[in-house]
Amino acid sequence: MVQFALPKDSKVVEGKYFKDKTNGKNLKKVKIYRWDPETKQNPRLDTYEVNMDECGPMVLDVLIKIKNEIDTTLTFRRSCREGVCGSCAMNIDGVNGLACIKSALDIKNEIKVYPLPHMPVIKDLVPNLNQLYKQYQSIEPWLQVEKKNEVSDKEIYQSKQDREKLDGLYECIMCACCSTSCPSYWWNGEKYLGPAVLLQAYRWIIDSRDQERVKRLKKVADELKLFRCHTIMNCTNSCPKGLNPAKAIGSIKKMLVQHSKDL
Amino acid sequence: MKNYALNKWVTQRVSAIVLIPLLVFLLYSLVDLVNQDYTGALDAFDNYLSIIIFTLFLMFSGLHLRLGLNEILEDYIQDEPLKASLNKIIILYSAVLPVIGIISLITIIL
Repeated sequence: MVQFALPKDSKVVEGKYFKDKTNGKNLKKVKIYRWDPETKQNPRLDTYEVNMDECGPMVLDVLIKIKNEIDTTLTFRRSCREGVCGSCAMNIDGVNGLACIKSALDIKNEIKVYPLPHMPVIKDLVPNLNQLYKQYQSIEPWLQVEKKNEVSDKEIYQSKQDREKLDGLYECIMCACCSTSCPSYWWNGEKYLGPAVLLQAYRWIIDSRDQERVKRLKKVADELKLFRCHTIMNCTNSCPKGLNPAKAIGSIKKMLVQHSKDL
Repeated sequence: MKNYALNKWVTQRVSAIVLIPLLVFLLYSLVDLVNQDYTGALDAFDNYLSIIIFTLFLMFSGLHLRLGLNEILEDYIQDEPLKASLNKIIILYSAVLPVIGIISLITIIL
């Protein structure tokens, strides 16, 4: 059965309180999920007072300020700081998103920051995304041609119209915000591919240069891999790049009907 | 369609669409039945059009019920033997109910 309640050792308890030492006037309370596997203690919610007059506008700026000036033990992933790499994906104010492009000033009350939901946590805000990457690998996200020798030394042309079909798909940065906001992925994450991987699968299915469309469709045409999507649309709501994975999943289903004789 | 998952998905959607007009007819009939006594209610079913539409409604609602409940099982039950047992109960339940309904309708018209 699906486990609806957290086990005792996973319940989040109230953590430490870090008061502002700069006598700042524009203070913002930031509550951050903390968990260290080495201490073998329950996860806790630490509260930090951050002087926003001396801090950048984004949530990532706040986290970096906390790590640099208040609590160096805080752990999180970050890299590009401009919404391109997807490293700083986390649950901010109840919605999955990228800390680097989420404005801290837009959040009226205290900022609550958790790791991406329903994923194993490595430490603090760092989730273990191995399962997602294995699923991504399973859809073979590279161009495949049937007659390799004939085309290996030639450019494969693509019309402008065919290229346009990839818009809204190729921009995905695999930050996992969509997959980890999907209840179907929470319950059946081991079998259901999830919106991020299915969007990528569709990106290769619809690519006019790829010659393995039917093979790719056969691979995803499975009750658990694809049809666990119930169009809940959390994926589309949470995508920080404004993409629509639910539409891509719907398009795969439509293509399956069109190619039903080949499956 | 050879693919079971795709077949199931299409059947669920088709049955949902078919049920819309049938459900409208059922609701319309129920509203009409409010002011009828028992004999009047029996008379309302005593024609082939009502029998055919209600039979179709019972068949498609049974099918839709089975597919919908099966989806819930697939979502929330991960224990395979338990899932298989519950699936059999659902198949039986969603077949028995329409059959009882259809037999009742035929009894009225005979």
